[in-house]
Amino acid sequence: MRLYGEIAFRTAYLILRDAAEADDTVQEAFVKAYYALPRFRDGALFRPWLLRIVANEARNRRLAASRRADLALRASAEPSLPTEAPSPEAQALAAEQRRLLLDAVNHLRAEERLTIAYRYFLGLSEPEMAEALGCARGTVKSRLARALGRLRALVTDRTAGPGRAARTSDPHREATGG
Amino acid sequence: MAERRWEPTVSEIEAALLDLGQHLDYPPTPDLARAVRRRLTSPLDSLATLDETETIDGRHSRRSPFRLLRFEWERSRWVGLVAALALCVLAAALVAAASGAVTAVAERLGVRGVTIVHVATVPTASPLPTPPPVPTPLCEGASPTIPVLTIPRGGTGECASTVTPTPVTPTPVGEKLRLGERLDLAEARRRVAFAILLPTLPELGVPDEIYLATPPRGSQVALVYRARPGVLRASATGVALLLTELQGDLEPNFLGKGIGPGTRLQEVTVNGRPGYWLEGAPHVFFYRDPAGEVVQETLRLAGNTLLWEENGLTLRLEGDLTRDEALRIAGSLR
Repeated sequence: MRLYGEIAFRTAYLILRDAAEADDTVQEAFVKAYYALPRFRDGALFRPWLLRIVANEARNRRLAASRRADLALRASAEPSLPTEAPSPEAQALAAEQRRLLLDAVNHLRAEERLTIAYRYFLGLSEPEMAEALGCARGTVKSRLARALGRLRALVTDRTAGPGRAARTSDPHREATGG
Repeated sequence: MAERRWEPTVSEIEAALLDLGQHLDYPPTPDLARAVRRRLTSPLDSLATLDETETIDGRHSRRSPFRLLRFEWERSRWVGLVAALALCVLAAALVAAASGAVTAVAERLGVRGVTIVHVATVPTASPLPTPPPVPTPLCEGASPTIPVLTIPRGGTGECASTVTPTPVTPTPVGEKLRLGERLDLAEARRRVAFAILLPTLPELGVPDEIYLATPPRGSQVALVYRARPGVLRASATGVALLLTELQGDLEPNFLGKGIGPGTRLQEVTVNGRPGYWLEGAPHVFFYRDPAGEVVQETLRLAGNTLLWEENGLTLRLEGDLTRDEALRIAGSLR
């Protein structure tokens, strides 16, 4: 329970973005999984099987009106580059890009967000993703590619555009742009 | 706030996503095990909001296991049995995929009660290194505490003519089975929180040995009966009958013992309540103790087992018994 509770809860939370709803969802999902266990195929992977039940339960709930927050970043500011101490500019850039990317993720449709989350946040392998999403492995690849493409577009569109306000003059800006 | 222009490549986005994943602010994972258990034990209540003031103390309320038994039993008794048997097949894969500890399977879902698991290798009863001496049947009337039948199995027909009421003290057979600390009945009664039930069939008499074990939570009493000529046949361990009483609840839908390939499972009724009769190969066994943790119990005897629930206890009767013999003994428990 401890082992699977966290990833199940996070899966539900990534879809619903509401902690209380996610809690309820996962509890119901675990109950359903319990009764569905006889249908669990011998040799299949348990974790994605469980997450599929969680995701289905979350999707059902999403149809009902619910509060929707956005995914947020943790307050701590540890550097993301473990190998070397990054310069303050590099840290600031990384933090800014992180926020940008998170914003883009928040703008994805729930299914796209789930696909991204399974792969990059929750660490599922491709076969696991196929099981969890209920699709073929080839479909997993194409879904990922589409979601990544959309993220790129969101990020690029957000930072391109002629109307952006001028920041304090920064000689490195031109070098880092593009 | 304006952002600097960023046109990441696919691999840059991927790396950035991995990084982002490390920085996401997830809400803390709630205590799911407890909540899921509540839902499983109160299926009628789970449709409404959970009563947050309900507490789960050491002993579950008597009401809910009975409700569950009746509700689930009537609704899905055969589904439950099919499910339980189907689980035997799947669990082998789960065991292989998991960390290897069989309890991990049951704990995945925090399943309440007893869980069926098909284990690839099943622990076998550890027999005594040397079989205990076959007790010479005492002559009728020689002992006031142990009634003796007049028809000894095998033997020469001779009997010991001792008139002392104290029987010879054989090697305690139960100790080899790691049943716990050996006590007498009065001491055991003092030490456990539940009322120990005893078979009241005259031919059984009193248990020969009583053991108290304390798994992580909850108590477990084992009553050991050695051979009773004509009544009980001892196994290689020297134990003829083992009655185990433990604080814990049976889960009829998801019941179990670890079932080997040669085991047959049958639903029976014990004292008006559902029970299970298992014949054949050795078993492991899971129950849910008062604190809600799934506990694995290894078998003690290679024989048949009757499993049922009474007074908030899970009872297990093991021995070289027929089903009707076992039911009769179980029916005599007071």
